[in-house]
Amino acid sequence: MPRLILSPRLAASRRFTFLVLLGGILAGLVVSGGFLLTQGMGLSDLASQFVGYTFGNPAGLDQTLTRSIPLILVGLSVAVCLKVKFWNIGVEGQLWAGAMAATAVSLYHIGPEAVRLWVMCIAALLGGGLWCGVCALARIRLRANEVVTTLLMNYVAYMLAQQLLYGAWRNPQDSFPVSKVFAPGETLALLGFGHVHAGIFFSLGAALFCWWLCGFARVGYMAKAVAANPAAARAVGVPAGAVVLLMATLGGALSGLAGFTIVCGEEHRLTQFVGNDFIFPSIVIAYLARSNPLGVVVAAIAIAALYTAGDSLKAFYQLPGATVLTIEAILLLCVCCAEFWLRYQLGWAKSTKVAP
Amino acid sequence: MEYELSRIQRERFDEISKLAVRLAEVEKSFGPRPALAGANFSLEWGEVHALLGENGAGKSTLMNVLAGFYTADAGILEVDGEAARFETPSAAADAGIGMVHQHFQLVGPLSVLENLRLACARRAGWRSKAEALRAMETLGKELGFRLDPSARVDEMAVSDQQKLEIMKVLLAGARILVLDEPTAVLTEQEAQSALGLARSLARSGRAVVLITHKLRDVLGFSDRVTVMRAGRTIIDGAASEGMTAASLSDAMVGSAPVLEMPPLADGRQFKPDMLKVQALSVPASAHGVALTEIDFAVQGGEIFGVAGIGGNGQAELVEALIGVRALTSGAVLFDGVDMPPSPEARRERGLRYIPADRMGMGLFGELPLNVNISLPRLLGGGAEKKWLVTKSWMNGLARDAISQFEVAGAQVDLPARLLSGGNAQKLMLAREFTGGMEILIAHSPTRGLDIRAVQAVQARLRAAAASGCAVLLISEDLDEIMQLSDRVAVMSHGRMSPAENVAAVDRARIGRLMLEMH
Amino acid sequence: MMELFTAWVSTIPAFAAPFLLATAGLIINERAGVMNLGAEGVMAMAAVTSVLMEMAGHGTALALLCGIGAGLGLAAIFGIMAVFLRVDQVLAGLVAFALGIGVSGFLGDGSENQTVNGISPPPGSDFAFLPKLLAGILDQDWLTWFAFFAAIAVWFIIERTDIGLRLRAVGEDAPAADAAGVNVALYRFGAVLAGGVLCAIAGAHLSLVGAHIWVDGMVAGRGWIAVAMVTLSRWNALRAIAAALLFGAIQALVPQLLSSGMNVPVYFIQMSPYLATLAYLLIAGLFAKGADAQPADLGRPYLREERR
Repeated sequence: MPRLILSPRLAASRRFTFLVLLGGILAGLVVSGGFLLTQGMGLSDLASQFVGYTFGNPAGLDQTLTRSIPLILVGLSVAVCLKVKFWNIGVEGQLWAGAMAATAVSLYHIGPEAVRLWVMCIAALLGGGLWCGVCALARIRLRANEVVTTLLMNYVAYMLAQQLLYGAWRNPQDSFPVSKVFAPGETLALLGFGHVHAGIFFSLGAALFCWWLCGFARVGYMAKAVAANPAAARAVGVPAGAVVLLMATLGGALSGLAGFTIVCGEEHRLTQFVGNDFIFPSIVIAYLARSNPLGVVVAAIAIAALYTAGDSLKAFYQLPGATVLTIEAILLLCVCCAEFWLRYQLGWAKSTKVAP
Repeated sequence: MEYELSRIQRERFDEISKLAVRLAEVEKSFGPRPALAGANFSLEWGEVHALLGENGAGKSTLMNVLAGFYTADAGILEVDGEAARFETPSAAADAGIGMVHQHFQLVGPLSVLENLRLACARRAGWRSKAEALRAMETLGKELGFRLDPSARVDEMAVSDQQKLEIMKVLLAGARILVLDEPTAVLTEQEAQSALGLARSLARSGRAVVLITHKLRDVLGFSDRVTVMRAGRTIIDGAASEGMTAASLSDAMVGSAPVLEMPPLADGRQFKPDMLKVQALSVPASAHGVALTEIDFAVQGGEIFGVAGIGGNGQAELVEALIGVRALTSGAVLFDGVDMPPSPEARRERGLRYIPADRMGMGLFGELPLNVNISLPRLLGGGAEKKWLVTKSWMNGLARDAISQFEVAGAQVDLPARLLSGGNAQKLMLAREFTGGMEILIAHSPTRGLDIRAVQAVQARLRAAAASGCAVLLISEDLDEIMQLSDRVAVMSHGRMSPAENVAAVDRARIGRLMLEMH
Repeated sequence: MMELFTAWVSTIPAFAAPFLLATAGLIINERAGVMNLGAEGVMAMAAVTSVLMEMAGHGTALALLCGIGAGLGLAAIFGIMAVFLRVDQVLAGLVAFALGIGVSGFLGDGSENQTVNGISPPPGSDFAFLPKLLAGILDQDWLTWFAFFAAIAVWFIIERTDIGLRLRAVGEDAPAADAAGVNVALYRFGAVLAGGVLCAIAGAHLSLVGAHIWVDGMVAGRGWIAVAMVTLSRWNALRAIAAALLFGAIQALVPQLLSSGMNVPVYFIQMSPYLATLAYLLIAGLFAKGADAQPADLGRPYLREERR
């Protein structure tokens, strides 16, 4: 008796892959748009908010670009980790760790003043790298599930930051839970276009570096091998554990760098909110970009534009702050479901049996 | 001999009403390769029937047809005198057929009783745990052993797991039992008791098939024997009593090799002890075999063949040699110097490896051919490209490999998993036969390949030896070992026999070493 | 000091209950082999829906049921993605998380900070005859009591019944369970729904019992903590009671400390359960214990045609 069965698709052509992903994104946009229409927005409002304001208006573009700086970095962070099938759910913790490390360098005057900014940058890289690296080590050596460990490390970093801000690092002048403002030499320069700061060079540089690392460096190919078949990778002579550790540490360092760009480029001090709401966007960005580092830049700017639009929707249409998160979720949902057709196909069962 | 067999066959035909199972002219192919080409088999109530044959002879496939895991392409299947066709294992189970596979289908973290309840509750009609426990104890009494119902299955000895599998099948109502190589994973004493159990099951009126390649199982514990080779039945249900080790091993491994290869050139220079293994011991892993005091040396320029039935320690030996399995004692020397411990360092010293499980341990199925080919060249201190690995460089390597090793139907960006078996193996060879190869370990390099691919691979192995490489060929195919090797040793139960010159060695004796040595 | 202690201890069960409900729900999921990171979203959906329904005057019981329904809907979306469409479970869980938080923000927009009756402990103590401390612990509302009974029930069903047996088989070794005739997809989806119900009740407990209001972001990471607590309780719902009491005790301690005006490192105290969970994970790994308790097929989609 014929019945419908699900079977793995042998191979999807590049064209088919592209069409399916495009279809997923379009479906996500249509569903999101429909959702916003039910919230009392008109079609022309949608167009003016999402296209006109975010890209066509200097203030909107400024906001979008500034917001994209850390988003690119956290997106890269997740993407780099995914190259070795390591789920990094801890970009916020790593970002906090990087921000705290950079702040500590400023507060305790570590290193010569002339290169203080660079010391802060390196400290942030180390802080973030450490925060993710220990989770990778725990997975390799102790088989601890990285989803849980990176998740928990978020809270540890957050609590540590709050403790510092309410304690040792509290601003002595006004007793607000923020750190002292950094010295002028400890901040990233503005580039003369709104709030856009030199951190954008760090983000784009990091994207280029990751693009080279994943596509043109030896370790990128080793990572591909480890992700595709760990047993064969070891047999061929790929040091699998070291590759996972390296990629995950690099991923953490990128999130730490995002923390550095926020405290040195935007806030110019450590505040209570530098590391909020990055986990889900980082996953969405990495996933929409299919973990391609240059694709991450595009996806991060798109998601940043979504935030810009979200802010103005909040101001002008009284839509709640959850708008952006909802749209992100709908987009990812549609793309995930579309991807199903890349991996599986439906067909009629024949009367063949499979081996046990 | 021929006459006698057919007389026995005719007699069996007359007694068809006594038959529990009759399989006739069964055919089954996987892809282009026939696994069964007209196989016959008959099973009587009350007997233990041994089904003998080398790996790949079709024994397991035939029994999987009986138990509903495969459906035959053609042929007759009768159970208890009635024609049958099983689309699913569950349909076969309803007809009273149960199969205990080599790889047990038990849920490890669950207890004995839980596994029984999971698998049999519906068929046996148990409504409570107590009922299941009672049924288990009753059956245990009948069979003469007792398992702790609350023991965790993955903490039990393999022999107990096997007993549990047999209980599972019986409690689900099986009267016809198929045991797939039940003694392969057991110690001698355990094997004796398992075979004794099979016998008592048969004496209680059930019918038992014993898939095996051990002569001891046949001669000591079975009533009749069927021998298969290359998908065909060679001996069809002869009484075991009249059989000798020689007649069985002849039927099993066949006589002279089909294809003679030209001898290698005479002027070969042998370089002694290129690869030397001294008193190597490795502990057993779960479901694995321990290696005990293995000693051998492979010369540069020769092919050293290791014969033996699969699962006698070959995989463990290979893993120890390439450096992914730790030794308890012993040494692996390369040209007189201790091998470095890590796989990457061993590779740099010139060790190359063709795994038995191509897609599992060798190739990266999801990655394109160009990455598969170039990956080893990116490793270690001698990496050819350090900072800029370009697609064109990889494509160049891949194109060379594809043309040189005649990988058919391949583009450089094709995922490796889409290659056919033979072409995947050629890709594997192309990757391993790169500059600096000094020692080659080839584990079942022609398994599952068609005849043209087999010849291509074998020619490559000989070429490697001719160029001075030390080749260790581990194969379950005795023909292949005898054809290619300069010297031969036999692995059995984690030990290795002393090497002998292939010209001086008697094929039948190798067969017996494979089957009988402990 | 003693008063502070009594006040602290008597609030622990109500603080622990949402953790316990969500953890028990996730244990059902994970024992069937499905890791659900969407608990936070499910909780938020249930929390906002139940408050809205009560504000609309539907009575607490119906409000709770509607909350469960809303959480269940989101769990079903997750289940369809993770079980039937075989989307990576981490990804599917994150989608459920974001969808739940996002949609609950829309639903609750404009209804924030409006007090509802919700569920409170019965006025006057039922246990006045007992010592004050003990009476304080036992004087809880019915939903908090339910949480503890639910955990015991989950443990009993998983460990002691036929349904639980099949559920565990599916989570430990899906191919072997399939060979034994268990419908793997059906059991996994059922586990996702059952777990979703408990996570939803956890969310409703937050808004109806704990806060009596809805505020955006009020779940405040409790769903994530529940994911980690599953590991801490070694996939055992009885141990989850102890784990929930630990997290509940710390959470209940913080307001007491703040109101007492004592100068203590509040955030370090709040950090301690996370560090304890991390330390537990590492120690369990050192002694190879974690691997024992974790369902072997956790996170692995199953399709018969893809047998390993």
